[in-house]
This record gives sequence, structure tokens and C-alpha cells, in this order.
Amino acid sequence: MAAPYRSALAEIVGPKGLVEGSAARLAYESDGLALARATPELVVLPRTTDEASRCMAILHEHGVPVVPRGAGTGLSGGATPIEGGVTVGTARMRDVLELNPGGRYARVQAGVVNADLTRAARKHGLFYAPDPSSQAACTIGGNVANNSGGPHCFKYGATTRHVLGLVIVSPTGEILDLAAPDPDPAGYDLVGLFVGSEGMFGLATEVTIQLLPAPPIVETLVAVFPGLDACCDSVSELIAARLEPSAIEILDRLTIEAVEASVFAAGYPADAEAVLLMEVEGDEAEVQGILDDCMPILESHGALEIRRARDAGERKRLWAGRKGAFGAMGRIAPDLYVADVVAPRTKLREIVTVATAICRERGLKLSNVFHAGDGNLHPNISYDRRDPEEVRRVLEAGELIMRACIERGGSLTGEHGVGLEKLGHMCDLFGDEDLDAMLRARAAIDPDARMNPGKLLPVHGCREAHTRSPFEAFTDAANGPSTPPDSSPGGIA
Amino acid sequence: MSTTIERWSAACGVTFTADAGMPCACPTDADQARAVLAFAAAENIPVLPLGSGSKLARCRPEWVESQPGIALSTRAMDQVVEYVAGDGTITAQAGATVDRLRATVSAGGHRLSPDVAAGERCTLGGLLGAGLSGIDRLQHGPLRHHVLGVTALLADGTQARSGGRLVKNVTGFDLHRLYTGARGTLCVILEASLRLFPEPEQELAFSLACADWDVALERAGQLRAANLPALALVLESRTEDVLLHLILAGRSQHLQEAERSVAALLPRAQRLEGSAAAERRSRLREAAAPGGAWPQLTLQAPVHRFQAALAAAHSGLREQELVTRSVAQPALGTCDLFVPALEAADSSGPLLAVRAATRQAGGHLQAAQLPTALHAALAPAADSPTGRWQAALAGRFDPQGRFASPSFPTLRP
Repeated sequence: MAAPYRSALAEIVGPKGLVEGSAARLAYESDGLALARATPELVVLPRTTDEASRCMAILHEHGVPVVPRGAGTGLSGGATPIEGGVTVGTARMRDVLELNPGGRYARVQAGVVNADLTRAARKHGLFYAPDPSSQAACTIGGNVANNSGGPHCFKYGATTRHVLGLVIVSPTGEILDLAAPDPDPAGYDLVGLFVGSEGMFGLATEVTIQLLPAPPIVETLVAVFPGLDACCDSVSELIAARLEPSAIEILDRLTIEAVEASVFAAGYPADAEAVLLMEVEGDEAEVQGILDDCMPILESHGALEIRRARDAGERKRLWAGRKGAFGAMGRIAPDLYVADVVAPRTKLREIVTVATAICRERGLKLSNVFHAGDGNLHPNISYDRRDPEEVRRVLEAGELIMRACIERGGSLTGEHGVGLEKLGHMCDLFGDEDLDAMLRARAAIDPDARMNPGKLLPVHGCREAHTRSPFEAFTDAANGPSTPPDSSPGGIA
Repeated sequence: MSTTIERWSAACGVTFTADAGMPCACPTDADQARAVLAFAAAENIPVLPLGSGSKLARCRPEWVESQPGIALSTRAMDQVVEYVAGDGTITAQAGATVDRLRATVSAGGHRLSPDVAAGERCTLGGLLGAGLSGIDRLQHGPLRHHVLGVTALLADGTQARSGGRLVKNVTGFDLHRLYTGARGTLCVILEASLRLFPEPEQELAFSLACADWDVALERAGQLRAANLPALALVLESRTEDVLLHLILAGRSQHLQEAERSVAALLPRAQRLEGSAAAERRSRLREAAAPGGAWPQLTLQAPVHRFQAALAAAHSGLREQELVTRSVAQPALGTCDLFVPALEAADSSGPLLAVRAATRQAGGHLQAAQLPTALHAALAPAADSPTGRWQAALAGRFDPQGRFASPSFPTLRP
């Protein structure tokens, strides 16, 4: 039987705006966190802010839980549907509404793809800085929901530093026009509050984005190290020396082997224990100055070889290799647990050492590829989700790595968000009073808690999280209590 | 008052002083601050979260016009908690002065942003509460982008932390963004963490007198388009002309190259380096609030509409026979308008006329150091979706309205 609100929604968005068939809805049953799946009652794809507003008003009237969705590339279950709920997606909201080169901003619908925005901006000598690995598919609206990062956020900052304005459809369907690219908000910083709220405060339908002048010169370096420790230490020293490359990434041996054996092969030295991929941007004097300061540090930590990308083509291949690393790991095992943790840059080596030991003790295959410059690590564990015992060990290792980060002054997530995956760990980092304040913000904006329920915040405080181990809570939420993961295709990433 | 202060001090177990005609509690830790809030709740007294009060006239003028309750100053909580030079972050209690923070990070080769006036008085908590950026905003961005985490005390004594001490972190809601610029209407900021910037190798300062605003704005536009390593680009009105200031900051080699572009665009500019350039920066910083007096209005407009909006504001003020001194940052789309005559009681009519003209040209005016009634005239109405969100947030964080302001963030019905 059709949901009571179905015909009202159909009238607004038309046949192209509703996904109803059970087969069609399968495509929306998870995001990049494939362990967690659910079937939405309906998927609604409005075309405009007005359509989104009217749809949200109807869903509010019927008390229906809503899960906002961009491209579904998130890795923490933030866009995983809720049983009985409706997914509202921005897939049909793909227009660049305004690109103002003089003002250095663009106003786009939330479904515009990240890479498409940068391509459009390049024609005017501008670019959009946040560049997550999924940028060929992820949307600006999704970037806003997660406060997405990427390698070049080391220099330019994550999404929150580039959002000048938003148009938000509230949980009740009201439209908040915060779109004007003014330097400072009048009143409370609602834009800053909304960015990174993981879909719990409403649906962003339009985003006003800061664009930056494209740097005249870009130099990309590959430094080969005899070990991951030395590579990490070199990064810690680069940061301590207050040097400012635009990106600093690390890939370890296992990652390089996988990348070089895949379609993303980039020419990374296949026998390297660790590689530092570094980019420096600016005008000629600035670039040379930074390189002159960086090289001695890299050499002092035992870099065996430092070479520059010969041309733009090689630079593109190196970055494609870096950004394709997660996909390349598919040749090692069917599934990949992509951990996302963040720590002070002074503790990089320590965290990597601890993560390595945790995985070795559990017989797990660990690879490292991470945004070293920001202290945002991705210790990735290859596994087979058809083996429930291995799944248990993987989740246990992920939890221990996370705890190790927190103990050393780190945090739960640098860019993937809390979503479903880390809900149970919020109490490792925050106390009841901290979460109470967040719940107050949520209650102010969404008193019925219909927006993306069951994500990010343990609503009953830390008592809820402490009754069982976080990874048990997570797998139960994903699969139901005491149910091992099934053998359906797809991994976590 | 002294009897009242003694009684309250005894009731809370906290030192009170009389600051600018109002009783001011000066807790030394979170527990004492909580005791003050509990006392205020029991006595149903409004509370004003405060640092040193250096921005009181700008941010909470109702407390300058009358003193309806207690100020709760965090200035006695003034310690640097942690400076991690290797990670480029600092965490300090809210009462730590900007000068103290500057000195701490300077030792490690870092610079604090925002670069604001009155560093010897301005506290970290007050800085965040006001949400004002500094003269270095063009290079480093606004203050709200530098805040990594905040520990705050809510009106009911709840102590809550958001964010952390890391330069990259997406765990939980960014309540620290909400608290920044909230002018003490949501919480008492107890402690905050900021990201830092490298101390530049060199600074150069250039100044050029321009015949009028049109000429100055044209030059500024050319400088902006040259993509220089500009820390600040400021236009300052004088009686007969407009002074253009440019400060470059960065690596010496980079500045050498940038200087060639500046020489081509501003061939007759005065050039300063070393301590003279630093002094110029310091003067520009202090120009934001000369002698502690803030501008009466701030104009904001998208950069590509700024020239028209500023012209409309100037024209509107001239029509109202209001003498104005302006300090503009055209590359950011902002201008501080010093219009002392607006502080007169009967100036709401002229002010609204200027606002209308400015809005038509694509800009808008925000109240700065103005009487409460004029803040109210410029505050958005609560009856809008944005106003309702702001009211709802204030209602959840401070249901009793202990910290409430009549005109911020929106005009209360």
C-alpha cells in the first residue's frame, strides 16, 4: 500500500522525482559504509529549493523521518536510510546558478559535483579548494553536510572555510536564505553551525562557495623513505618548522603496491617502504622558497630519493594514484575498512606504530594512506565481510585505533563524519554535558528529531553507549541484533 | 552598591567588583562561575558574560545605558593552558589577554590571528564573544575560522565542550561556531583553542594618497587582482583625500617579487619595512577602534558590489548631514563607518534612510557602537525563518533568558 503522503509528493516532484520500485530503491540502501543497509520507504528527488521545501513540509506533516542524501559517497553511514523513512536526495539539483569571477564566488545547487565546480571555475582562473578523494562523484551539498576535506585542505582548510552562504530547507519545510556572500553573518553563525551537521538540521539546497585564484605554479614532489616512521617524523618536522606546502600525503608500501598494480598506476616506486607526496603552490619565488626549506628536512630524515613531477600529466597521475588508493585495495581483499582518525601532528609516528601493532596482533592486513599534513590518518584494513570472525576483529581493531588516537589528544573523525559508524564512540570523546549541549541545538532546530535520526548523537546520553561495546552497537544497528553480516556484494568501501 | 556587592560576594563565595557602574563577578574557575550563575538564577538577575569589557559599547550597548544585573567577567581565568608549537595550536582560558597569547606564540615562531586593537585589554573570551576579525583578515580569514574548540558554561551551569584542539576535526556539531560572535547571549566562554599562523619572514607596508574614493577603490581593485601576499588592504578617509594602505607579509623572496607588482601599480607609494612596517600595521590595527571608540556602523557587501554600496552609504550619510570617517577593506567588502552624530537619540530616521539607500545598492549596514534603540532599528525581525532559528537556539541554551539581549541576534517581539 502506498504511503499516505506519496501522491502529494508525486504532485510536487513529478514521476522523475520519485524512486519507488523495490529494485530502484536498492541503489539507495546504503552509502559508502556498505555494512549498514536499510531500504527507504521512498526516495524523493526535488529539482528546486521550492520543491524541496514543499516536500519537507509534507513529510513534517506526516511525521516521517528524513535522511538527506547527496551522491551517497560518505563512508560513515550518514546517508544510510532509516526503515520507514524517506530519503530526500539532491541528485536532480545540479545547476551552477551563478559563477562570479570578480566576486570570487559561485552559487550552486547542492547536487553539483565537487569536481565539476572546480572545472567550471578553472575557466576563470579560479578553483574550489576542498578536494576529497571522491570529488569526481561527491556533491557540494554532501561536502557541506560532512565538512569534507581532502589533501589540499592542509593549506586551504576544509569545506567550512569556503562556504559563504547557504539556502537551507528546515525540517518543517521553511526556507532559510543565508545565501548572500557577505563577509560576516548578522547574528548567530548559522552557516558555521550547519556545516558538518550531517543532515540533522535540514537540507541545504543551495551553497554559496568561495573560489580562490588558481596558483600560477604547482610543484609536486615524491619523496621515498626507507620506513614509515622516518616519513612520519619528516612531516612532524615540516609542521613544526611552520612550512606551508599545499598538501602533504603519505602512502605506505602496501598501498603503493596495490596502486601500482591497478588502473591507478602512477609511477610510485614499487619497492618503497613509504612515500611522501607533497605539493607546493604559488608564484615562482614562493614555491622555490618553500621547496628550499622542505628539502633539507626530508633529507635529514633519510629520504632516499626526492623527485619532482616532470609535467602536469605526471602530477595528474600521481594524484589519481593517491585518490584511487582505496579502490585499488580491492585487489588485496574483497572489502576495506577505511578508518578515519585524527591526531596532533606531533604524534603521527606514535599512532601509526600503535595501529600497526593492533592489526598485527589480530592477524589483519593494514595499509596506510593519509593526509599527514593535517594529522588525519586512514589506517585501512583489508578483509572479507563473509568471514564474521574477521569482521569482528576488524571492528575491534578499528575501535582500538580510535581509542589510541583519543588517548593521544586526537579525535574520532577528521573528515568522514560520525554518522552511524562512530555513534557509539561519541562518549569516548564527549561527556553527557557536552552531548547535552549538542542535543539542545538539535532540539531547537528539529524538536521532533526526524532529520537523520539514529546518527551522530546518542540521544540517551552516555549511559546508552556504555551498556555494550561500540562495535556491537554499530553492527546491531546495521544488521539487527546477533545477526552476522551477510555475503551480499560490496564492502565498506 | 557596595553593600549589595558585599552581600552578593558573600552569597556566591566569589569576588565582586564595581565595574563601570555595575557589579561584576570575577570567578577564578568554572565552579565559581557556576556559583554566580546559580545565584543569579535564584535571585532572577540578568547576567552579562564579559571579558574586560573593551567591546561592551559595541556588542551589548544596553548594559552601557543601564546595568540591569551582574556582569560575569572571566578575566581572572587568564592562563595559557597549552601551546603546542609543533602542531600550531594554542588553548587558553577565556581571560587570557590577546597580548599574553601573542607573546606566548611568538616565542615559537607563530602569530595569533585576529590582529586586533587593545591587545593589553582584549581577552580571548571577549574576542570570541564579539566575533570580530582583525586587520589581517585578508590573509588569514575571519576569526570564526580559527576557533578549533570551546569549553562553555551554559546559563543553567552545564559545562559543555565542542570541537577540540586539532586543526582538522569533524566530530559532533560545531557549537564553537555558534558561540563565536554570539556576544555572550548563549553561554560564558571558559576556554578556547585556536589555530595559529607562521610568523612571516618579512612585512612591507605601502601607503598612497588617492584623490577620492573612486580612485582609491580602483587602485585597490587592481591590487586585489594582482593576487599579492597581502595581509591587509585598507582605505582610510581623510579630510581632503583617501589614504590607501597595503601590507604584504610572507617570505622575503616572495615579497621581492610582489613588490615589483606594487611598484608598477602604485609608483608613488611610500614604502616601509622592518619595524616601521610593523608600526604601520599596529596603527592600522588601532584605527579599527581609535582610543577604544568603535565605529557606529559597519557596511558589508559582496566584493563586486562594494564600490556601489559604499558610494550609496556615503551619499546617504551626506544627505543626512552626517559627518563620516571611513575605514574600508574593499577586498573583503567591509567598511567601518565612524558617524558619532548617530549616537544622538533622534537619529533613527536618518539611519533608516541611509540603510535603505545602501540596501538598494546591494550592501547592508550592521550596528556597531550605537544606542540600543538604533541596534534594534537595524536588527532583523524575529519573525522570519532565520529569526525563529536564532530565537529557538537562544531558548534552548538559555531558557530563562539570563543572558538575553533585547536586540541581538534579532529584534525580540
